[in-house]
Amino acid sequence: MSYLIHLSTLFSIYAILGVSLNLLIGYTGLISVMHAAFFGVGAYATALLMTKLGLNFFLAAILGAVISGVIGCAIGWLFARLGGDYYVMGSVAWNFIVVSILINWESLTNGPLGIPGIPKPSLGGFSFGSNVPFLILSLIFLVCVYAISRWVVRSSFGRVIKAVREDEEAARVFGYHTLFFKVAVSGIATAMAGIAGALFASYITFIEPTTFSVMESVLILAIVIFGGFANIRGSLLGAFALVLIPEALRFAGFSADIAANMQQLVYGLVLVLFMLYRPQGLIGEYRF
Amino acid sequence: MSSSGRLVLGVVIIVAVLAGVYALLQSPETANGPAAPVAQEPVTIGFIGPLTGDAAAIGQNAKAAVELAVEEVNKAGGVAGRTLNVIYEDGQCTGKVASNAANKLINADNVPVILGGLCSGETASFAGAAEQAKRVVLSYCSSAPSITQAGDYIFRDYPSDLFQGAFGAKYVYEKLGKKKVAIVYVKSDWGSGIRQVFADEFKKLGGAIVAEEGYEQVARDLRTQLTKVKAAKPDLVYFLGYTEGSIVGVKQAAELKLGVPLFGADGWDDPKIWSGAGAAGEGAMYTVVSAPLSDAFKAALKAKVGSDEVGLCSAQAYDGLKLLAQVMAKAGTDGTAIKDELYKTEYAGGVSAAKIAFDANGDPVEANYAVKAVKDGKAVEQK
Repeated sequence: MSYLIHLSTLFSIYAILGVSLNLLIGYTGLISVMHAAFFGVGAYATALLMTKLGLNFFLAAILGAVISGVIGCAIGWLFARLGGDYYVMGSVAWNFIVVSILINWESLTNGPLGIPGIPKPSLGGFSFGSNVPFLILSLIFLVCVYAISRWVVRSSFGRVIKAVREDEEAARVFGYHTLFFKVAVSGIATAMAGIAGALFASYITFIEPTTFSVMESVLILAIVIFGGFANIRGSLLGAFALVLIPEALRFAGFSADIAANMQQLVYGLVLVLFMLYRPQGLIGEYRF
Repeated sequence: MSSSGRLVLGVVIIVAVLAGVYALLQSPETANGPAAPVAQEPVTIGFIGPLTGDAAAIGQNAKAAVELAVEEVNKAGGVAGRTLNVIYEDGQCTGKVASNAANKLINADNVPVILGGLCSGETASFAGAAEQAKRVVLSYCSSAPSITQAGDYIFRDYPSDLFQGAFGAKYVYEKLGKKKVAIVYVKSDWGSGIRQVFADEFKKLGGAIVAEEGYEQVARDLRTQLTKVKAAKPDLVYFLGYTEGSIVGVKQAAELKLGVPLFGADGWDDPKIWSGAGAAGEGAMYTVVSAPLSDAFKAALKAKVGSDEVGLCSAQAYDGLKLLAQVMAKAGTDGTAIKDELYKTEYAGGVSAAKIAFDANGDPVEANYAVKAVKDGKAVEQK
């Protein structure tokens, strides 16, 4: 049972990442492959604020999200002039830059050694240290993120970002300052990724730079694609599937000699087959 | 939604639900922790290491050594008459995957002990969960100094980098009589960790560190770093690297006519480096965890993996399993009992060290290092 609680906690963290990335990709049409970088910024900011300054988790997590969001706005503004494929390339590069900074800024981030012993959240004497309270906490965060995302995409703001996705020039002709919308949605999505990072750091209690590499961004992107573009419920399903399938494969009963390799092989096969027969994702509402 | 879409969705949901049900059925755990063992049931423990990915070569070799130890334990009557069984999980040398693997082992398979992880990042990521569930972790390869403080249930039979860095500094300063050293190091938990300890210890002894140049683990051109090092005019270069980077680095040091000896650490204990670097590697020296490695062990491992290679931590993994079997025969299969017994245990006659015992932090009491020097493309232990 605790194993399922552990997986549910991971699911909530990845669902936050999936839902927030879907705001960028599915609704605004910005194919970002740098979400893990903001995941990492949030995780590192929270971990450092907690271990070095002794801040409470909740304060640290909010600050972490703010830091991640501010950087996200700046990057969103910088990359707003990059269209289509160039945005993809720029975002990959930014992910590499962040990981390099985490590795090389040793006086702050402790470099490749990572940060061990990150405390668990507690509030007013109540500790969220054990698994069930932590799961509840991360589900609360997930519900908040989901509610905010739903509100964003259903508001007039959401209709404008969809218009940006469909035809940015047309949106501008109608008098919308599209740059503002792109920057704002970047800020919202990356702040949410920062929250996911805060939860991850405090849950695993240890973070190191390679956790936030481009491959992690690709996994989050896969969650969005699997679930379907422009559907935040789809991202929940995507996170559910992509967190669970590799774990379910641990029980598939391959012989010990080949188990590890077979698990990854089957995982890859499932994804390929899925994309062949269901390219729009589980419940996608938009296709590129 | 189209009908085919609904079908696919249905299949995915059914698969996920079945997997969940299966996971639940696999978990005999009760709210109070491990279920009471039945006398003749096999004893099951977990193993975590990188079985795929970058470090898979070391991980697979260690796994083979563990399999070998399991066969021997079971041939000799098992653990107090019960068969020993190991579940091998892939940690991919990354924190998140290892943490999933450990949670599966602890909660679904309900193992009292995890032998692993291999990379320090693996061990650090699940130490907290194991400590909370009161399960013992015995790492056979994690050398990061921070593991020392990881918890009461966390042990390792591979020495902390603290010892190796200090040993290297002493050897360079006292035995080799070099007072000015430049450090070239790979930016990984291993490289950065040893570098810190080495530099501190060397300065404490009275020596000077004239340059410190780090490089990324994927770098395959170290000329910039080596040129800077050359300009600092050291008496010796302390070079911390893994196989691929080291082959290039050692060759380039010769090309740039550095003209000073190279000194490394256990990452250099790979024959591929010295056959790859050729003449450039002549005279290089490095520290290595000294392991007695009986001929019987080497022969048995060779029969299993088909090559002469004894991986970086295979001896420690082999000894770790034997040690756990010995402890569980005495203390049973309760995590806390095993932990208490481990602190008291002394294991003699292993292939990784003459004697294994743990200090109050779960670190090995003794760390023995040897120095090897490269001669004619082969590393030879110095007396």
